[in-house]
Amino acid sequence: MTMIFLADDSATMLMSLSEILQKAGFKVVTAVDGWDALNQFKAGTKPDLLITDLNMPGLNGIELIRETRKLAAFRFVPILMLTTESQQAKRQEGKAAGATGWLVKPVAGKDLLAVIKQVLPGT
Amino acid sequence: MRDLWSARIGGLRRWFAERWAFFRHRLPQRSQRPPESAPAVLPPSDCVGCRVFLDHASRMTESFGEPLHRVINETEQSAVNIIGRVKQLDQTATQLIEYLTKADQDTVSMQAQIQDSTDLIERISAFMQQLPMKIEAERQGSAELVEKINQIMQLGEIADTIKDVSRLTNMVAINASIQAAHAGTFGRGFAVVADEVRQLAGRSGEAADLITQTTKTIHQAVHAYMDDRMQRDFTHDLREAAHVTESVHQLQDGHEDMKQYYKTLLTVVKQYNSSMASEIVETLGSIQYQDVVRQRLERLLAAQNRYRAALQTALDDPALASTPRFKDDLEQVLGDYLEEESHHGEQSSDEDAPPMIELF
Repeated sequence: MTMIFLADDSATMLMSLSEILQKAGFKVVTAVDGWDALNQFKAGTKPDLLITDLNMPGLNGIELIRETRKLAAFRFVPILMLTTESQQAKRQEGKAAGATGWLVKPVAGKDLLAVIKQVLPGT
Repeated sequence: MRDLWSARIGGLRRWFAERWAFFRHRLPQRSQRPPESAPAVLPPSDCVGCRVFLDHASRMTESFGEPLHRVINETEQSAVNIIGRVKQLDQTATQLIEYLTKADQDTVSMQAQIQDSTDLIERISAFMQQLPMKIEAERQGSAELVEKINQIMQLGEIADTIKDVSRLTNMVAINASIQAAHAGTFGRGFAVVADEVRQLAGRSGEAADLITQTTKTIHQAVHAYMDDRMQRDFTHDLREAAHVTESVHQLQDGHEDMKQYYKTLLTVVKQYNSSMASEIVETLGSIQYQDVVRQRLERLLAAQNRYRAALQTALDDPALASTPRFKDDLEQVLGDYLEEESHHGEQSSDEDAPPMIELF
């Protein structure tokens, strides 16, 4: 089963997105901030896709992407930023860090699933 | 619901963008700021009214903090509750789909049973349609039986022949007795024989009469029985056959109707379930607005804290409140807040605005 990892400091986001993704047939693993996510990756969690918020306490989303891309197992794992931030400069920063795509909250359930289908062909 | 929130947040975004556009041109650039030694343009810092105002503004902004935090917590709790309820709704929908899927599988099995029953019914129907012909065949068989009985009745004709032979024999015996009497003593023995023959002819006649009478009685009885039974059974069987055939056709139609009804019902319910599942996904997606609102309030709180800190500085250092720097600091807090706010939010109508979803 395809595993999607969600990193967000909002309980609302984690719960609602988990429901949408599980309903679509994905296995979902969550982290409440950047450090939590990175620690889980280092402990062996290997998702097929990472969806992360930008503004999180401790390690923010862009820093998380930079650290994650340093891990050999995550060099080609697609990473989507899901944030309220829509500024072009931030997007470029995310792209440079290794993000695969940028989604501005709130994103409709069907749009999110369509994007996942694009970055994970065959799901 | 989502459209309503989109409209509200879109409106807020436009408001912030307009405010930011208005203020950004009025904010003094760092390089253009007047030197610290520039002449004061504000009222004297030891103005009692000014201190009251600064103090009040500081306490006002401080008092906003707690309610705004409470709004964040309450909306988050409400969002979690909504997710929980939607999840229950989704589970119910999932159970319904599982039930329908099982029912669908059962229908396949039931359709096979119905097909078997239909085949059986069709065979029964065909049999019932052939039944009148079978009954007619049986009737013909019975006619053959009657023919055999008629052949038996020919025994009566034989009996009549016997009676004729007996009568003639009797007459011959009488003549023989007369002739024997004429012969006298020589004809005595012949007379005895003639008498025996006459008696024999009489008994033969009686036997022939009995045979005739008996065969007539049998013939009448058998005919009466056969006619009655055939007439009664044939009519009854035909009526029963027609009734059963009609019932079989009704049963067949009922089976077909039930099959079609069940099939239609399944299709409709599955369509509604599919639609409800899509609505559940979109409802869950709409709950993201709570996080959008939370972050907006957090930015507002942060700006408010900066604003309060600036006011507190002026309260602590009354001389500062009289300088242009104090005003610049306050403008900077507002400007930063509006700029930060303009970086967040819904899709802008501006053609140059970046897309809401972008794959690199």
